[in-house]
Amino acid sequence: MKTKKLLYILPLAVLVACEPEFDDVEFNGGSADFTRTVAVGNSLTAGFQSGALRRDKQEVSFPAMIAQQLQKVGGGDFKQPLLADGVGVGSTGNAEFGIFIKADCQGTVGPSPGPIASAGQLDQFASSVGAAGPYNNVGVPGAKSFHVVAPGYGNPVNIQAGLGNPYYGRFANPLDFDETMLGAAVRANPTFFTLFIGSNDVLSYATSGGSGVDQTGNTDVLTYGSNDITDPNAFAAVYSQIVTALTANGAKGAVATIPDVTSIPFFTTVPIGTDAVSQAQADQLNSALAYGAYNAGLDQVAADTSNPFTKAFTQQMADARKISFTAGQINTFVVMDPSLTDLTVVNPALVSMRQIRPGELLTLTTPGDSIRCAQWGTAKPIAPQFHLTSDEIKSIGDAVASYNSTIKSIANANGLAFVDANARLKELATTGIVESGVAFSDAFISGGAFSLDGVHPATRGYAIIANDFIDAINSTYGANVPKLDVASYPAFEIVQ
Amino acid sequence: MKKLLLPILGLAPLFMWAGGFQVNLQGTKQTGMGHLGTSFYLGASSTYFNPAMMGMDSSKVNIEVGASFITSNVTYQNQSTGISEETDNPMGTPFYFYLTYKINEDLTAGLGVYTPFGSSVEWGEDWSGKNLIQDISLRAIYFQPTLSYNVNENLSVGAGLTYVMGAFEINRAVPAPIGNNNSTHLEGDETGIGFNAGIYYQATEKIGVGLTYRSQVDIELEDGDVDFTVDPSLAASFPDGKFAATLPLPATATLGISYQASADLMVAVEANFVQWSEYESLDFDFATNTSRLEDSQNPRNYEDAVIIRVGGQYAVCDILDVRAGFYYDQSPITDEYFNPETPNTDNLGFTAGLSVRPMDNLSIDASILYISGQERESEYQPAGFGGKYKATSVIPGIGLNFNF
Repeated sequence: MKTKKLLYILPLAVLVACEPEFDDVEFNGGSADFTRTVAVGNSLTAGFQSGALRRDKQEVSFPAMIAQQLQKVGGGDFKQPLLADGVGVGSTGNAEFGIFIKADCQGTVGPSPGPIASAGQLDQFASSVGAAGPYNNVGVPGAKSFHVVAPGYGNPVNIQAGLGNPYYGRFANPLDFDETMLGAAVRANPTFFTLFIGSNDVLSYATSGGSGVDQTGNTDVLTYGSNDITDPNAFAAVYSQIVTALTANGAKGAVATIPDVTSIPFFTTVPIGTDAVSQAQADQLNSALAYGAYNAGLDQVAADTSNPFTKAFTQQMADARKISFTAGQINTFVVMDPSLTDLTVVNPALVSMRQIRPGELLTLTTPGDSIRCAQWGTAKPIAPQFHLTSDEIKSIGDAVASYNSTIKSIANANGLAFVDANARLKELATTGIVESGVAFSDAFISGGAFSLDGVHPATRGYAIIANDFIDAINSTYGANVPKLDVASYPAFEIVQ
Repeated sequence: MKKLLLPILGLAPLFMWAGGFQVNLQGTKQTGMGHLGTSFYLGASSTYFNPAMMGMDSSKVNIEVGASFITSNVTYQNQSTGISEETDNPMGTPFYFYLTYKINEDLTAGLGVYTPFGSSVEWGEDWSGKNLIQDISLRAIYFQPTLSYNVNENLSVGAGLTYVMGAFEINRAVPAPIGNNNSTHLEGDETGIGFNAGIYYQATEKIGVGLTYRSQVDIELEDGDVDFTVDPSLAASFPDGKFAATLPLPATATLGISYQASADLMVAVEANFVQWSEYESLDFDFATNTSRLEDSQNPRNYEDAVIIRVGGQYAVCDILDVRAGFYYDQSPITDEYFNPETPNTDNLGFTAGLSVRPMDNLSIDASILYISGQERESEYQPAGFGGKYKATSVIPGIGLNFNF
């Protein structure tokens, strides 16, 4: 018996003595000083997820995640304008989205996102936490580049008038309500900053189905509507102004490019065409009672060169907007397109509609049940606010490319760490990203990287962004800041 | 048949410690001197080490039994996050049983039961690599009936069949986008057939040369059980059911040379060539696929590996032999496909052993093996998981040898 015990104890004793151990990895901040860090940006910086800003998600905003890692190499406190615990508050006063198990109009049961409460915590906008500032996180949901330098953006009077931003208003400086976001950031006297701004300069145009104006060529931002695309020169001027102010006292920083918003799930989830249509369905849609009449009407207008309102309308233009359905295959949906020549002056039945062209996109907000059960896209055209035309997509892409080249050259000129978030999103959408056995893609919900609004990342997606910033900081400033274990952050849960 | 044998398999959780999931602990005497035994005779365990030599004993019947007790630890450190984690492996107990029976002067029959492959690694349910592996238990028991024949004074040959019972069990987390406690349990057992053969040549009075070959055995599992524990909303996407998988237990060729330096001292060298390159992928073919549950392909891309061994035995007196040995065991796993499921580093093995003979026909054998796994920094690229790994094992062994 005794020898048997020895048989166990002896090797255990030896093993304890020889247990394989690693020295702790040596981490350091390199040439950067993280004593006081400030994050400037929009909803992405604020930690907005699943349609709302919410306290538990603010706590895992990407700048907060970075700050947590920087604290391991001497970084200071990172104070955020946290909401009270609750359901969060979205830009339309909504609560945060969760995943529910629901049946659609055809009775198919599946996971589906929806607000987790009837309304968001609007009361949070009524109480200011500005006196506790300055805050390290100056991320304001909805902010465009020029809002960062816009005086009065957080002034309650402007907010009341619909000209300010209540997310900023709740933590704006109570001693100077007109202080810009940039002013608030500079007031924190940063030794290091992150800047991730510009997405909203194209995003609201995109999510509204291109309802705004591409303001390229017009640098006067005061004339812009809320869904317009910001002029690239205006963007460059503002971006340069922000970086100059943030680096004025020698602070180092990291900046990121703007993701090409048309590759986010908000635009890539809803299919632009039908399932295969039956012969009977195709015949009916093509009949003289339906699109057959529309097509004939187009030919008629094109042939009529005498009408002064429509003589510029060619046969080619008519052919380009004709609608036909082929049985046994996928047919793209019919949409309203206000950019088409208005023919209703000569024939009220010839509304501005056409079929979606390959490469064009529908928004995540396109009512799915209307498509499934109310003939949207087939017998009835889809409304234009759900549709991005190829021209609109090009406007967005051109602006993003221009913003990004500005960001890159300003980063280089100032020796800043540079994160190519746009390239990362492309990688996510093409090859995918794998972290500790978790495969991420840009697919809605199942891809794991984006939150339930299809626009903002999920917690794990934000962790990937935070790691990209840390990588850039490490390589630019000779630092070795520990990275995050992305897979250890939670996935979605079903709301019961 | 298979089900009946499961409880027996259950007694033998083995811990991987040699290259890949090979477990080289097939004789206490041999283990004491670096696990060499192809070119000299130490008892019925020749059934395993070189079946050509089974008839070299003067007695009619020779029996050996023994077991080893593996205590081992693997430590992992992620160089970019700084996270350090370690395994909590259960003790492994590989065992052996050999019986040889001399039919006549030249012909000997033998039976061996041993466990040359196995693994039992437990990283825990919630470690950072849980999506690759939480724990694995892999067991293979070989049954080997064998004949040896003395061709002439200097040359003998031997060959036999191997009947292998393999069983494995894997737990890992399922990284589904919904739910944070999704996991899968895969389990199955199957048998396989192979063969082994050996030649021994007495080159001079003092020099012996042995060559052996053990064939590859494929454990072709056809009706493994897969169970998923997933969020209820995903239950339809992850149906419990059956799966098929093939696990190759690779072929090994061994060449050994021994030198009787004096009447009391024998030294030997040996090399094992293990054909790990056959282990290309561990694929799970699920009987029921869904949009979320596709067949799982897990590339392994192992490379052939060599183990170099040196060792010696010294007869202190009539009743006591002492032994010592050393080996270098190369990991077959490349730095791109290093999966914590089989965290095998290049290993240095240091061994010592002794045999005591209280009676003429009984030997009590003991051995101790210390394995120092060389630190390596590797990644399993398909899963984007890597870091530094280091391992150690301490393995005492005990055996008995009778003859009559």
